[in-house]
Amino acid sequence: MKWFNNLMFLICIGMMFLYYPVQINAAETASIDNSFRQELNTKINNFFQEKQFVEAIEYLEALNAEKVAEENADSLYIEYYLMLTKTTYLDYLESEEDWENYYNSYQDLDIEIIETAEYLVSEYSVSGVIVDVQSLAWKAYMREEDKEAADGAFDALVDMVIAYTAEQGDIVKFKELADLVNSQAGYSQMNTLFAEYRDYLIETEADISSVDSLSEVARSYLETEDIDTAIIIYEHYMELLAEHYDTNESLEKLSMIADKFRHHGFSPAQDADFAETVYDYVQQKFGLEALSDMDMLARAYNLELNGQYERAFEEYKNFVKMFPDSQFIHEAYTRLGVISFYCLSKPEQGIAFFQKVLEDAGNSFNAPFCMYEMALFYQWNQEHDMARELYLQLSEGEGMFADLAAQRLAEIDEGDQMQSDLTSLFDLVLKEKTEDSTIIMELTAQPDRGIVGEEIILTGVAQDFSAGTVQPSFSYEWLRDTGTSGDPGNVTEFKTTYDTPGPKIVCFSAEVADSRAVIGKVIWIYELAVSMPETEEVKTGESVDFKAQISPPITEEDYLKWAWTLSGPEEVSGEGKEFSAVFAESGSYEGQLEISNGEIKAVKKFTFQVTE
Amino acid sequence: MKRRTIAIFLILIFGFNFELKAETDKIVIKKLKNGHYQMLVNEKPYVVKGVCYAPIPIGKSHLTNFMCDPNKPWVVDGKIMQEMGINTIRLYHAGDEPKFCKAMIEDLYKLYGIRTILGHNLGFWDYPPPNYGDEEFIKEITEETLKMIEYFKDTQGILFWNLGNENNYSFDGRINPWSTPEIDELKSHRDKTNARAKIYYSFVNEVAKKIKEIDPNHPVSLGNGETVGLKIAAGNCPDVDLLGCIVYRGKVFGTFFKEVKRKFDKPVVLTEYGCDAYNAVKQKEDQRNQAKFLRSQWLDLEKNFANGEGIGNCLGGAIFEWTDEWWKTSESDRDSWLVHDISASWGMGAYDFDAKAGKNMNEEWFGLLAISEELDESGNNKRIPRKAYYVLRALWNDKVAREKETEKKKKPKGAKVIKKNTK
Repeated sequence: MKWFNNLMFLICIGMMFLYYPVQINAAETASIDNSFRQELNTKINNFFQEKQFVEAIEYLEALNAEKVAEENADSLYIEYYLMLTKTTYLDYLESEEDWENYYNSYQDLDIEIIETAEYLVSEYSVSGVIVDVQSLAWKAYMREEDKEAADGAFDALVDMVIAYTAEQGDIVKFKELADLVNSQAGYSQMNTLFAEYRDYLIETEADISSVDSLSEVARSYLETEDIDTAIIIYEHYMELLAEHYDTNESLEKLSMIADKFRHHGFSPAQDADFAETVYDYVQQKFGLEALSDMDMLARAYNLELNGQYERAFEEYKNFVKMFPDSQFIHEAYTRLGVISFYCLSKPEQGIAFFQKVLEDAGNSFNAPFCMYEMALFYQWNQEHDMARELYLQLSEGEGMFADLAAQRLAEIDEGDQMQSDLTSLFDLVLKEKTEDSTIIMELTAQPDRGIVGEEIILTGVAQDFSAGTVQPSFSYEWLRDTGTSGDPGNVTEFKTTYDTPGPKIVCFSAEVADSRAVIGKVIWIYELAVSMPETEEVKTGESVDFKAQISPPITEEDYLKWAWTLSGPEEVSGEGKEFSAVFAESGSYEGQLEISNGEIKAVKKFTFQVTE
Repeated sequence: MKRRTIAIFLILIFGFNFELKAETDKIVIKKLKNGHYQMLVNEKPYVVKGVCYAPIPIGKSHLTNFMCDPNKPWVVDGKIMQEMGINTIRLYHAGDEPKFCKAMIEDLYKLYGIRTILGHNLGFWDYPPPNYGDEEFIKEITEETLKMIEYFKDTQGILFWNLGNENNYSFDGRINPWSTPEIDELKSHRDKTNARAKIYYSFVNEVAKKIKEIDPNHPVSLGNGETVGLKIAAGNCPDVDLLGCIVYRGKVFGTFFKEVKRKFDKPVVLTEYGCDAYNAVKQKEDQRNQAKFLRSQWLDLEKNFANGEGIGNCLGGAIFEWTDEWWKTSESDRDSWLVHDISASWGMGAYDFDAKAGKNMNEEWFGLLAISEELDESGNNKRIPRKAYYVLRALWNDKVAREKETEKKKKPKGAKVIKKNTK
């Protein structure tokens, strides 16, 4: 039995030596691979930071020869880094606009990159590195302007990245590729990439988190102001919504997308055309009735500010038909009247809409404005009796329209001509056109929605599209409500403020030789007010409610920030349209309400007393 | 001894004459059997690979006669042009001192083989403004033009004459308006426009005919903005040899060549085409898009050369322009000539990379070469070739292209890769 024990002992010893070295080798190999790659990565990054690209290439080629000699699997990574370094070198030359070196180097380096990629892709299964290798090859084909090869390489790349993304379960590599494609300004490739990914999500019935990751990617591009790329992604995301969300949730998400791109009136739209694309998609897929009242109004406003007056007209009409009890109904009728007059040259139609405001809500904020517009038209059209009747009604009131009505009445009663700029404007917009104008006009206001006393920049652009490179010298004129700046004269841009709230009609005219063109728009001015309890009701220790009010009511309230600062024996601050505060100290306080949309738009100051 | 002396004397005389009177180039435009057109210079096909040349230094305006510049910018520019493969420049006028212009044209030809399209604007931008309906004005301009032709006709390097620039934009009365009592009596705007067109093109035709009497060796081109007025030109200006058109239609020229064939049926050289290097949306220089557009435009022109897949009536073109001009935004404001202004005076939506800006044609940024306030050894603003220069060089310069092809054929260095899986 002793020999048996010795034999077993020897067998055990032998097994230890057999097993243990494998474990060691595996561990050593694993640590060598990871540490090697980490070191290589660090080394290459150092070369890049020092812009030592040629040195990096030499280093990598020497390393590759050495690793090949040792038959080490890390050669794949060395080859990849070689491709990356060559690509980064060319990118660097391009960014430095070192065209001499770029054009002397790129073709040779591209050949090397492409041939290496072709070999590696054929030899290795799909992995993160192989996706990166294929990306570099595609980039090289693009540089070579070999469209056919580039398209082929790109198609293969898309398949690889989708397969890899599916395997990994995250979108990181996909986003890296999207960034690369974006940097190559490849609009159609971006579209292909996301279309393929969308199709993949549909075919595999992917979960909601995968679908929503697309929305996150789109938002990331929007945040970097890459609007075109964001639009591409949102278009594909929209296609997925109905498959993964119920109708209400889909509509909510679509509304949010449109909201990101449309005109709000405070700052330029990201892309008003795309916003309309989204609204139109909702209408086609779910029906017009699927749009909420605010979405329908937002859509109409977006079209109006985008200069699409006929379409805006249709959408305002849809709104008044479908939401007759909305608090914004009279604003919609007012806009319908203004568009009819100044954009569509249909005064009778405009009169009808203004009349609706007077009939339904003679006390509404917009009623004096509508009455005045009607009276102006009648006066211009020599219907003096009708004009006088309306001016008389206005003059019995107070404020700006009462004063204006009095001026107009005096003109009629004394047999004078109507104020010349008013006449000119109606002549331009309402008289029948004799031939098509070749003058293109554009008029922008920054912002379109303003606050009393806040600066607004008005910019007009006129261009004669028949004159090519030799543009004529235009004479410019600004008409109607130019605000406190008065007549700015022969300029294409000026700054102004408005002292009173309400709609303001501004028109920009350009004249050359026997041609004149005019364009108008309406700016909406609001007034900010603060309401709070009477003085005797403001006591220490008790909650005091402060409320901000904007008049007329504004549809874009959600886009404003409200910041309160109350200074006195103690400092209190808060946010929101309504704000409550409790004061421990009595005394005199100065309050400030600041409303903003990114930048400060308006400030309302007030004072109050807090008693014991 | 005496005979030998006479012989030597005669040899010297005639030899000297041979030195003085160089052989004049024979430049013709041939219509091929397939209806396509080709320019032949001394019986060899010639494609105009040109640039509009007006190297106004920083701080100066178009009133500067660069041809008198003692720093001779064309000597510096000519070398760079030659390396690029440019064979033609377009000059808008001969300047106030023709002898300097002549010297420059000859320098460019003799040193670099570059020929010149020489133009006359037919009084369009002179003061007082033109009136092509006024006999005195017509007479004066005709005489001035013929005097120029007489002076330059034997200058080595002249390729062809270009009459007018964008004078046709005056027909509708908005730019440099002119008229006659007969035109004023016409009722419709269209009739007035057409009447002006007829008067103008008839005048150009008369000038062209007179030029050919003086100089049968160089073609005469009708300078025109776009295809505006061409139908009327066809009936009133048949004696020009070709059309010199200014066209900005974006990346490609669309139906332009077809329109020219249909409306005018003569060959065309694009006397201006191009793309600015400023992105009016991103508010920064954009060499990438300029290079992309110029490359695409050239390939479109190439497609329409003789025996190409297009219309076959394109003889080439002159890119607007060689260098940036810093005076263009405000020609009356001296301070602005020292500033590389970024404002755009007109817009063209077909330049889609910055069309969203509305007005996106930044006139001070059309150069293939940027210029720097730093001066080079010759005393000229340092030239900085943009990406477009190199892109077009690859297309135009046969020598460079051949060298690249040779390099391409060399086998790349590559290392052996071990066949292993990544995991």
